Amino acid sequence: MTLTAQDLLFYILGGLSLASALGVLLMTNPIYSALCLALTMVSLAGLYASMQAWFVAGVQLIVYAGAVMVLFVMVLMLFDLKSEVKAFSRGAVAGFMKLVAVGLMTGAFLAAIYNSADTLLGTSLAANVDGTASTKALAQMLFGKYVFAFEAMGVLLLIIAIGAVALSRIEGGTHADE
Amino acid sequence: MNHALGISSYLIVAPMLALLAASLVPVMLKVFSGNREPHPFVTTTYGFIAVATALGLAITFLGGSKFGFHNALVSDGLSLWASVIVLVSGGFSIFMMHDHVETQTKLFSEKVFLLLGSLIGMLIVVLSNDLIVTFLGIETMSLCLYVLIAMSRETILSKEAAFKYFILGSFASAIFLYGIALIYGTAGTTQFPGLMEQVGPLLESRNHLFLIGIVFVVLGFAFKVSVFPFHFWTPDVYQGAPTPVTAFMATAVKAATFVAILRLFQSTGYQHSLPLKEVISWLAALTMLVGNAAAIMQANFKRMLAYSSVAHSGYLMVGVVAAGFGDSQGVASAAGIVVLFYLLAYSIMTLGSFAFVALLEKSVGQALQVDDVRGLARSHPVLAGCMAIVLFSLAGVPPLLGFFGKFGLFSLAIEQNFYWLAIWGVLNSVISVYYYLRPIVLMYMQGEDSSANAPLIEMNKHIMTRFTLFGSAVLIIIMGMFSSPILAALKAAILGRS
Repeated sequence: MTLTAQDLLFYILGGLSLASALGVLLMTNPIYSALCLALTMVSLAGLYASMQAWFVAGVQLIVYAGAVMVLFVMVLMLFDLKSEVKAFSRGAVAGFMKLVAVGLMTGAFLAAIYNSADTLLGTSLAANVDGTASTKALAQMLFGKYVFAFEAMGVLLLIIAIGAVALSRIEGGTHADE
Repeated sequence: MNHALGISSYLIVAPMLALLAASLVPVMLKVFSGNREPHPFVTTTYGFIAVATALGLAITFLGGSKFGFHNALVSDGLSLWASVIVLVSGGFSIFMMHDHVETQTKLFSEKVFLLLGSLIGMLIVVLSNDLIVTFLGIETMSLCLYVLIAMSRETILSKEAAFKYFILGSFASAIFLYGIALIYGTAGTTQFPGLMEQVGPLLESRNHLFLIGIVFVVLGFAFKVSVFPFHFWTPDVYQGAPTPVTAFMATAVKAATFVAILRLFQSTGYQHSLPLKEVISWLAALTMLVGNAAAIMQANFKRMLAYSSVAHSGYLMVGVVAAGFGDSQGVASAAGIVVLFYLLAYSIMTLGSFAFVALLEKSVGQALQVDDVRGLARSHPVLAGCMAIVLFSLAGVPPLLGFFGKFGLFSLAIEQNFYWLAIWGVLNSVISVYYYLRPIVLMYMQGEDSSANAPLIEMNKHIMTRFTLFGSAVLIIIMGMFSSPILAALKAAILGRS
């Protein structure tokens, strides 16, 4: 079995995303955690691009690595998080419980993937070699089969916008005017 | 690929469109009059018109097994009756919000907007035929509630409650979404009809990724209806939220989410997974026990009602167990009938009990104790009588509505050979009698001995909240007497009338 350039790219990007995801958890400085998260998202975008899913890769870069990360970093800069950092990294018992929970979860997933691997290997995603064709198919799904979910998302965003403004003006809120 | 939508698609969403259009009116009025809050009565009237219109449209256009928006939505008896329960709860909650000291603020029109937005989310949940659409509906419903809870006039408890609910709810949503991803990856579809056909083969072939997906989705639902061990937020949030919002959460959220759970368990294929059956049966049993045992120990009236609502989730889970793991054909429909009837009864009783609490709360952030109702029957015989009826019905005393709800659930469990769950449920109902009767005993039998010159308890003069309490007591008696025609109507709607 030879290692193609495609495989090599996958291993590099996969390793990078795993390592930076671990970094999000292990870094004690919140800013470093945020930067690691950005790296995770960029390497995931690279993985999508290597599967010819250009549109998803672009959205991943623009929305997650761009907009969401800017928001995270801005919030981190706005607040002084020193006491919160202490509250979260304290306690040997709590840390032990967290490790046990993570271990149980990982074990359950590994066992499940191992047991169901033969059913998964038989099914492969429909090959969309041409990048623009997959984007077109996505658009048709979004405005065809899933149009209701798309519209419901619009209503959800409207409600969030009004709710956020209302929330800032309540008693005890940051812009209270009553 | 044909993208055209038939007229039936638009008729199915007509109630949601009506709610959306009407909910924007009070907010827009405020914007165009220079940010001046409209009179609360005007806002309440718009809210009531919105709910009434949506209810009319739902009764006219829903039902009869129609699909819309490329099978994203389904309109059958289940969604029709669940919409009615949800909309009626919403309407009464708007009434109570108009009266209550913690909700009537300068931002009242925004609150009504958010409550109507939450109702839109619930209608999406009950009409949904696709796990993705269910997720969107649950998010719409929950996000409105997070903000509504925080918008109380009370500044500490309500903020804590909103934040707690928001953080835990976000985790539950993330796990729910992860479950959907696993289900889509293994079953290849998220639409309920296709998924229900896949359940049997996938569980039989021991596809553990699919099993984990189902477990995660159930976990997300369990959080929303506060099933043990995901119920810990319930007492704190129910206590911190303004009482009208609590009433709305305890009734409408539960009704909408249980309908979604029923849709997930409309398959006989779940019998292939013995562990899943055991786990969900035990969740039902423990939820009943924890809810009832904790309710006995509460001195705070709202916390007691919160734990009682946990216990009722446990009773309802018995119906879900029967739907998913019963052994006869059509048991899912039979379970749908009894669960909907129970939800109807439970919603009416819970609205009444929270209206009673709202009537006794006079100041912001007041923690009403169970002992505060001592001797209430002397000063307010009618309202005390109404509350006594509501509490007797919650306990399941025979001629009242609550009894028929429990009777239906437990007899279905016995039919499907879940004897131990039925016996457990009856035992728990007996435990619950203790804490439901305590306020009645306090209202009627105490206070007289502490001499006649003790000050009489004053209740708020809120007309609309009094109407809610009175209406729920009357409905409990009338619907209790006519429970068999109502059950027959539910049966006709769910089994399909031609």
